[in-house]
Amino acid sequence: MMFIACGASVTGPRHLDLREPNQDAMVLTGWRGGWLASVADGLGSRARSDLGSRRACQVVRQVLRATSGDLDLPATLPMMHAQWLNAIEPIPPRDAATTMLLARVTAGGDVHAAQLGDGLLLMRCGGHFRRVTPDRTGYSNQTWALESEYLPEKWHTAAGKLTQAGDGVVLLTDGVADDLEPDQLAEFLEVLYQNLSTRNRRRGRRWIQAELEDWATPMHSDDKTLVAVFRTSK
Amino acid sequence: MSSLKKFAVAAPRPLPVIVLADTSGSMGENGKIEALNAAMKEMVVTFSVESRLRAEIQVGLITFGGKAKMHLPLIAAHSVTGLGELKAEGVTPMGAAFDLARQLLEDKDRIPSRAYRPVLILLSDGQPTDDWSAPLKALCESERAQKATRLAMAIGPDADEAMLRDFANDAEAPIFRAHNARDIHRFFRAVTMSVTTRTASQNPDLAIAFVVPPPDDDALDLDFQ
Repeated sequence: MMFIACGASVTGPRHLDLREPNQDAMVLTGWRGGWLASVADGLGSRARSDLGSRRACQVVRQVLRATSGDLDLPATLPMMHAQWLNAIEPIPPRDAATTMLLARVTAGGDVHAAQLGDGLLLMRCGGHFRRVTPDRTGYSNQTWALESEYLPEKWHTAAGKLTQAGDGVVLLTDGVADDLEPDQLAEFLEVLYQNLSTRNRRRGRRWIQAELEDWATPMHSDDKTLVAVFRTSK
Repeated sequence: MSSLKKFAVAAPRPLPVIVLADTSGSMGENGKIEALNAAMKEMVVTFSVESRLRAEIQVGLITFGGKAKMHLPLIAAHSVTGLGELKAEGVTPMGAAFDLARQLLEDKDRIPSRAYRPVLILLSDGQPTDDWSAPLKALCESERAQKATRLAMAIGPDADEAMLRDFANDAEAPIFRAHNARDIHRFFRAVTMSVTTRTASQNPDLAIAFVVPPPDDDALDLDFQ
């Protein structure tokens, strides 16, 4: 089975103006013929959220790399949380708070994905589009995040199988997610696939980066991160 | 081939500021309504020129004098062409105003989920004349509306300060007591400063210190009786 996997993370205009680091982080790495992906958005109000988001993505890679074919993703989430707490020491969890989105795609096309907090997790399996992320009940930047307590009820998980070309999983931080027309997400995923399927990985990454840097929403200011894994053939 | 940009929302993220203004008959005394009109206009003008940084400041005005109504629907401050003079008349249906505010805050079409945390400002010089406690409880407990920042100003000695304290939820801003017309201006300047600082800050959702400017030394205002 063939996949195209690309991602990019760009520093938002606000952090560029302030000469502050990107508080988003991402990981996209090959794994046993499949892919591991993660994006995280450090909470802007916390002093070391840039470190918190980077460590979160590193922990996802570390934990998922060690998994076998059968995955009970909800059962691994407490382990990820515990390892994140270790990884950020001696920074207090509150200062490193971050959202987290992750996905594992096996060589056979099995997808497991999870999300805590803001952002968007999109999937297409067997040609059927699915938005895993529930509707937000409040306003922007009011989010659950990795902190000191593990909050199992705040995680959203999903599983599926990439059975045909164009099936895939997309992870977005809220710098992109909040500025997307909510009723056009299926078409957004399709356009993403159409563009990435005609490029190699390096050019795909550059294309995503250019799209995020030249974002169209007026007064956009957040850091932006997008990671996508698509099946391209049988 | 299509770009991702065509899926980007064309409107900037809004930062809604909603004023709940007491326009009952007693506000017509001692220059209170005139001070409120002038202070509101000054705030909207400032928002209209400063609302171009990280968020688009939107302003809405709910009045309660005789009956509660949406005097100014929530729109971008730079699009406000005329605020319309507020007139003081009638009783004080504050509970009905709370209901209007809650309906607005809960409406995802008028305030989308991508909006920054709204600011709700209540100002009153007297006692509500309708059933206000249940509407206030609903406002403070409803799913989205409870997440707004709520500020309050007590105008003159007859304001129901206990109720205004129940309304306010910003630890940075205890209820402000306006003793004269100039105090109303000072309160609105503090609101203006707080909101415009938020739009320029790294995170427009962060609480900003609420600092009411000191009165002018040469001010000669008579206190509300």
